[in-house]
Parts: sequence; C-alpha cells; structure tokens
Amino acid sequence: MTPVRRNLFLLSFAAVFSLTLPLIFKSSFIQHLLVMSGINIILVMSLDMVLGHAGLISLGHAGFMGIGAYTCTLLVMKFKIPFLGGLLGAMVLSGFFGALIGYPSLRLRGHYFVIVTFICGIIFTLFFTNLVSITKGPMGIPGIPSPKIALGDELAINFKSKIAYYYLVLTFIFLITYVKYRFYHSRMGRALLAIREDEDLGKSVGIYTHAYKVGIFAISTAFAGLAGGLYAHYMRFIGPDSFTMLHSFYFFVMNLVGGSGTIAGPIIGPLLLTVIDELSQFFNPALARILFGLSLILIILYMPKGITGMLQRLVLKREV
Amino acid sequence: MTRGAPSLLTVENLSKNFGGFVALSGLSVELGKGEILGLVGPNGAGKTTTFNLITGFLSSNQGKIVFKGRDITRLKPHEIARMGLVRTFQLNKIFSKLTIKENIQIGSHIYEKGGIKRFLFGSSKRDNEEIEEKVNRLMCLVGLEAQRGKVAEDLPYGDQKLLGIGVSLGAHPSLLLLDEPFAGMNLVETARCVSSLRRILENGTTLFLVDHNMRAVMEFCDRIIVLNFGKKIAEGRPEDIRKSPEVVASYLGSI
Repeated sequence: MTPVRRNLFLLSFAAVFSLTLPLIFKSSFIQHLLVMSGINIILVMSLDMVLGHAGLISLGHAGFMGIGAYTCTLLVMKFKIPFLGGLLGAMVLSGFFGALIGYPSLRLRGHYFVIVTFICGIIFTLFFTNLVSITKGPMGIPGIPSPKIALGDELAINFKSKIAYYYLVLTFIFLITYVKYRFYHSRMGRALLAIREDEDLGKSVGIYTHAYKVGIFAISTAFAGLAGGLYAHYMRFIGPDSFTMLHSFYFFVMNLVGGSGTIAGPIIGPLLLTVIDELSQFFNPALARILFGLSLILIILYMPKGITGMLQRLVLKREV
Repeated sequence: MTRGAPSLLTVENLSKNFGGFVALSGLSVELGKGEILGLVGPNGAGKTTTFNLITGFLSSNQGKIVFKGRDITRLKPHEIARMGLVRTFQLNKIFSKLTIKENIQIGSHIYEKGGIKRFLFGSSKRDNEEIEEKVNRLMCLVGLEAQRGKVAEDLPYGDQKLLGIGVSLGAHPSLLLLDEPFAGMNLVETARCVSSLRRILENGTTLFLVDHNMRAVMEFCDRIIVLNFGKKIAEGRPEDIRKSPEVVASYLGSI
C-alpha cells in the first residue's frame, strides 16, 4: 500500500471505529471515559497546533480552556444565548486573549515564551478564583444546563445523554482533524513548519513569522476555549480547580506521549492518559500524577517522537 | 562596466557598535545591477554584521541603506526580503527535517497564493502546477532536481549549501547576499557552486558575497571590498586588490 492509501485507510477505519464505539460499550463509565477523552483530545489538538506545527511550547492552555468554559457558561446561563452561540463566544474570547498575550510575548524566543504562557496560566486561575462577582470564585458555577441545539421550532437536539454528548464532541474532533490535516498541505502550514525548523531562514525569504505565530496562537487558544465550553456543559459544574497549571502540564504530557506534529498523536496521547487518569481515581489520585511523570520520562528517553513517531518508524522499518 | 549603471543598493556611512566594540564603522557601498561584488576580510572584520544590517536582522547605530531607491534602514527582515533583497547564512540554514521540494516551496512563500479558501479546500490544479513548475526550475538552477524527495539533512554538505541558495531564490531576489557560499567546500563542490551562481546571475540576480576562499572570490567577483576591524581598507577590481599593500599586510600576507 502506498503511504497515502494507508493513511486514508487508517483514517476511515478510525472514523468508523470512533462512530461505533459507544454502541459497543454501553457502560456509563466507559462512555464517560470516552467523552472526557474526546474533550481532552480537542484540547491537545489545539495545543499541537502551536507545539507540533510551529514548535512553540505553551504551558498555559488550561487557562485558555478555562476562559472558554466560563465564557460559554455565562453566555448561556446569564444571557440566555443558545449553546452554539456560547461556544462561538468562548472561542472568540479565548482567541482574543491568546492574540493579546501572543502579540508581545511571541517576540521573545524559546524558553522566555514558555515562561510567559506558564505565568499566564497561573494568572488566569487567580482571576477565576478571585473575580467572585463573575465566576463565583472557589465555589464554582453549578447547574450548567445540558446543551440544546435547536434547528427551527420543531426540531431540537438535547445532548443530555452521554452517547449524544459523545457524538457532539466527535463532530468537533472530526472538524479539527480536518483543519490540522490542511496544515500539512497549505501555504500557512508550510510557513508554520518554517518557523519550527528555522525562523530566521523563514524571515529571510519574506515570511512574516511574527504574524503567523500570533495567528496560530490565537487559533490554538480559540480551540482550547471550544474544549472549555464543551467541558463546562458536560460536567455541568466548573470551578477554578479544573483549569490549573497542573492541567496545562497534563495536556503537554499527553501531546508528547502521543507524538506532537502528527494527526494521530494528539488522539492517541489523550486517549491513553485520560483512561489512566480516570481509572486511577478508583485507587489513589496521586497515582495518576506518578504515572504521568513516569510516562513523560520514558517518552523523552525512548520515544522522542511519541507513540505515533515510534509506530511510524516501525512501519518504515518493515517496508525497508 | 559598472559605472553609469543605475545603483541597486546604496549603503552610506553604516556603523554598528556592540556595547563598546565597534563592529562596523562608516561603511559605504555602491552596488549596480548585474554586478558581482565581493566582501572579504579577516575573521571579525564585520562582514556578517554588514549583511545582518543590510537585511534588517540587526539595526544599525548610524547610516542609511537604500535599495531600489527606497530607504530600507528601519524595515524588518521579511519586508526587505519581499522587496527582493534576500540573504543566505554563514552557518548554512535550511529546513533540515523537510524534503528538498518542501524547502524550496517554503522559499517561494511570498509568491504562493494563500487565503482561507485555499486553506480549507486546497489550491486549484493550476496553482499547484504553477508552483510545481517554479520549484522544479529552481531545483534545476541549483542542480538538485535529482534529489527532490530527499530530506535536507541527509544531503552531503555541498548540496546543503546549494539548497540554502535554492531556498533564497524562491523569493525572486534581485539582489542576493551570499554569506560564505564556498566555505567548507572542496574544489569540485566550489566549481559546481560557481556554475550555479553564474546561472543565477544570468537570470538577472545581482550578487554580493562574503567569503574566505580568496581564490574563488578573486576569480568570481567583478569588484572587491576589503574590511578590517570594521573599516573599509580597500575597494577595487581583483587585480588591484591583490597589489594593495594594506590588504597584503592585513589579510593576504597572513595566509
């Protein structure tokens, strides 16, 4: 099989498989795992847009997810805006904050940008905790309604059940996968690759690298906001504890474990680690953190390109 | 030959200090269309600094740079590149994890069509053919057409340098600044590089190069400027430079 055909085959297999998953697994717990993985996949895919494609490390994505979650929740609950409008608002506001922070800080190189995102993540959490009049502070916002998408007066879809929510999340995963796929075959994607590989060389042939960096950071944080909105309406409760530094770090690990800069990586990584995370809640939540740390060390030592990178290498080896 | 030709690049009184260290002081350069100008000098003489200043990678403390009649002294690197003034790098820069074809296609960034519609649904067949044809032409120009699918870092060193030039050609330079194009090349590779550069010149690109390989520079350039400690100590045709006592004392004599 040619690589293109193989990828197409794998993709269609994954699509069909993911569509049938909740029909195979009827247990509510497994369906919960699937939805949580799905939301994490969206978040990690958004992170991969900056990390994998442009080579920029962000350790503040949970903060942007939080902005999205609070925005969507407040738009829907306070202003009675329909769910999809809330999601759109979440994307716009997170993306706006991404651009606002990215514009000055992306002039910094390497580690300095990482530190800025790291600190922003912390500051966002502080705002979620202390802006009591808006976010209700550490108490959080309970009773978020399950989303309803109304198509005209007659037809309304209610995403109350886990299965329905799974398909909602899956739709967004498909959409973002397509966007990520286009990165590999478009002028913008190539400009991002140029930034990852050698920014100065990119500048020297006329690529406005700073604009691309700010642009991709805004797009990435917008999708993080989308994940936040989906998270809020699934959990029906949000509080500052859901969007901490530690979460940003988890997403980063998930991306590395799966393999950054690939299509499959940001799907495999979160799937694996979300299952580990949720299962460890039965035993000891600290176990998850130990396993996360351990997997990070193992990945860095033995699979610098993540699980996807390793699989690709195995396939290539066999063909040679 | 060069006199009377309209000036492509004019550098006036360009100076740069790094703290107390004077990297370049009062350099003036005049470069006409179709010329090959060489910039030589010992290590630390300010050659690469000159290139960095002209292409906007560094900002000058003093002086003025005019390209195609427009003041570019304060422009950013990508803006200068878009005007057709492109450079290569001393420590050869290429997109090492990407293929030759991808490298050159990224070089053609500013001439490739973009936009949201093309991002979402792909470029039209005609656009693709256009860019394909251009990439092929550039690969032939630097003699790498046979290796298009290879990953850049797997190429031998000489080919990597040629690829670096190929990437810069994507931006349609009318003036190409080459920072040590012959460094680290053996005689065969140097000859290949020179013939590529000749072809580039025939395509209407003016060349301004820095190199240590005196023999190649003497043979290749129409005119040479010699720098020492950030100051121009000589300027003229290669045969005059060879005779200049100051140049012999500071540079040629030391080899």
